[in-house]
Amino acid sequence: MRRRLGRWAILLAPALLLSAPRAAEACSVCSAASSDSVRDAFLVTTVFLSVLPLLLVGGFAWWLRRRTRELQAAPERASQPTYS
Amino acid sequence: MRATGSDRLRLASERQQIIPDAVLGMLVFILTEVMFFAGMISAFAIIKASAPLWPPLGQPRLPAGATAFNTAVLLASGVFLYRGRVTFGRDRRAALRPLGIALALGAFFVVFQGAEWVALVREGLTLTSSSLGSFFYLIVGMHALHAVAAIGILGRMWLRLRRGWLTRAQLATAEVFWYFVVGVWPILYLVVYL
Repeated sequence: MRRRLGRWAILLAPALLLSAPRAAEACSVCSAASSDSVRDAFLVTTVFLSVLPLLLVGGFAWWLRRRTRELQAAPERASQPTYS
Repeated sequence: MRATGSDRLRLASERQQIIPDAVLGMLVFILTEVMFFAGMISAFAIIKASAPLWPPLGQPRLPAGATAFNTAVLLASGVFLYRGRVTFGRDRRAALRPLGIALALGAFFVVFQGAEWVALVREGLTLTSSSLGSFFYLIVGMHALHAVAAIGILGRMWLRLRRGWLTRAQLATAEVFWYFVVGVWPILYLVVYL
């Protein structure tokens, strides 16, 4: 019952936001900016600060994966145990 | 036949680390510092956009030309550090020279920046004179602090190399931080000076 309600809430929330555009523009920083240049600056810096950590962490994870593959592709050392 | 206990121990000790622990720690630290500088740059961009006139009236112009030369010096220090790392792989003692040059160039950069600051303060640009002054000394000052720390770390590595104690992982740790200091500066130069 709770899961169903949660699912409906997730489906309804965007619909409510789209039907109330004025209420959705409630960001006091973005919409209350004194001029277009300030509003643009807020938008650009918000996007910048949101995307940058994703790029950093994603890039780091990609590099780690690449490094792991390089190490695995390196000639295997004779690490197999010998059995008597 | 099952592997013996000593075989398992040997296998475990032969596992390669993807990257040394110290380098991983330094990379995580650098990620946080990148976000720190990104926050300051963003704040500066918003203040600049909301100012009625930029640069503010009555404030001296930032020495973009002289700082461009200083930027080249810092980039050159990064190149010499890279050469030092490559040389370290072949002949450890021979890496002393390029590492020493990288260190000297980094120290020159910091001293030159300090001289610029003294001139700017004399001309009236201070931490409290305007928003330009506040952000200039904050952003460039934070970078200078990182540069001084990087010089300290690299200097210590140079001394260890001279004594024959430097490991590859230690050099890589110092190298990563130096590249961060070198790499972030051109962005700060473009945002603050130009």
